[in-house]
Amino acid sequence: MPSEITSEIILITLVVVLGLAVAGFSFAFLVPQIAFSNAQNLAENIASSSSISVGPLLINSSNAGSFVVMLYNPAFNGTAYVLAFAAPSYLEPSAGVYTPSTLQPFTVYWPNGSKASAVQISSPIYDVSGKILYSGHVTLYKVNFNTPLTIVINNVNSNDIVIIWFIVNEGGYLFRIGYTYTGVPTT
Amino acid sequence: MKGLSIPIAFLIFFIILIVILIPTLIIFNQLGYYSSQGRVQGSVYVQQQEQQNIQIYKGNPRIYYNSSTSPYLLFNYTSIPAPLNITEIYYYNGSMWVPVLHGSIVISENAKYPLPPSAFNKPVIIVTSLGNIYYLPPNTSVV
Repeated sequence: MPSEITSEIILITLVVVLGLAVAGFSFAFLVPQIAFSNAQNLAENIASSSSISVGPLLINSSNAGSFVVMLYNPAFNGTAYVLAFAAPSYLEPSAGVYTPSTLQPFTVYWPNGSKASAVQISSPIYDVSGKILYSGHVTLYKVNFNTPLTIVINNVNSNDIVIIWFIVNEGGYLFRIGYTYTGVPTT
Repeated sequence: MKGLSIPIAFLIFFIILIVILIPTLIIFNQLGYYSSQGRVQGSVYVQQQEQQNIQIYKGNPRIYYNSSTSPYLLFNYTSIPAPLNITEIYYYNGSMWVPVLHGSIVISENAKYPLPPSAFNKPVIIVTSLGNIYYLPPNTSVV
């Protein structure tokens, strides 16, 4: 008789412990995964319906480059963040996977001439497939969709291209929804 | 008592199946569906942009930038006018691109749009409402 009770107690304890472990796993791993996956879905949706246009990069004698860029998506009225950095022009074919090693100071202006507001970011920036693209401290500018922006970037020379990232904040995660690059026109 | 352990084991497997496998499958199956929605919509915008590019590269309208001391943009239609909504015009002042327009203009017939005299001998870009950007060095047309 006592051995039957013991085995029953062991069985019940085992089931309870296993149930707690399964519930704990789903709360600790699956719930954040679902939240991230949802945010990623939304970012992917914005990314695949947006397009980016960019004008030529013109550089003056003090190595300050300027160009105009626009994030176009008529169905979306939110805000995005913009990051611009220079890269050597031979990296043009891999502009989509190049991540900044040194960041040049840059400024973003609205069409009315006023400066866009800067934001300091230290959380990782993901690509739309959910991989971490860049993690580190970086200054971004908060901009609107469908608005042409003038960007002035310092410390560039005519052998460089400037890579521009557009980033959105979905559910607390930062996703790079698009990139483009521009260089000095040949003519 | 021994006979009960097999149904309990099945119950545990069933719970694991519901709690872990089904949400996982749902998560990893949704991405393709959502992104294809955006892609379908996005391809419409890109088609509109390409349509505008084709019109302008074929000279409908032909955009010429005359950069004299009183610079102006000249719009010349060669066939049935396709309206061109310009949301911004910039010129390069030697250190950055400076906006010229305050509000947008619609070009639907042959027109001449004057630019500020400070744009003399400076490159110009035109931003359209469809998000296209056209670059015009002094005394050239869009090609």
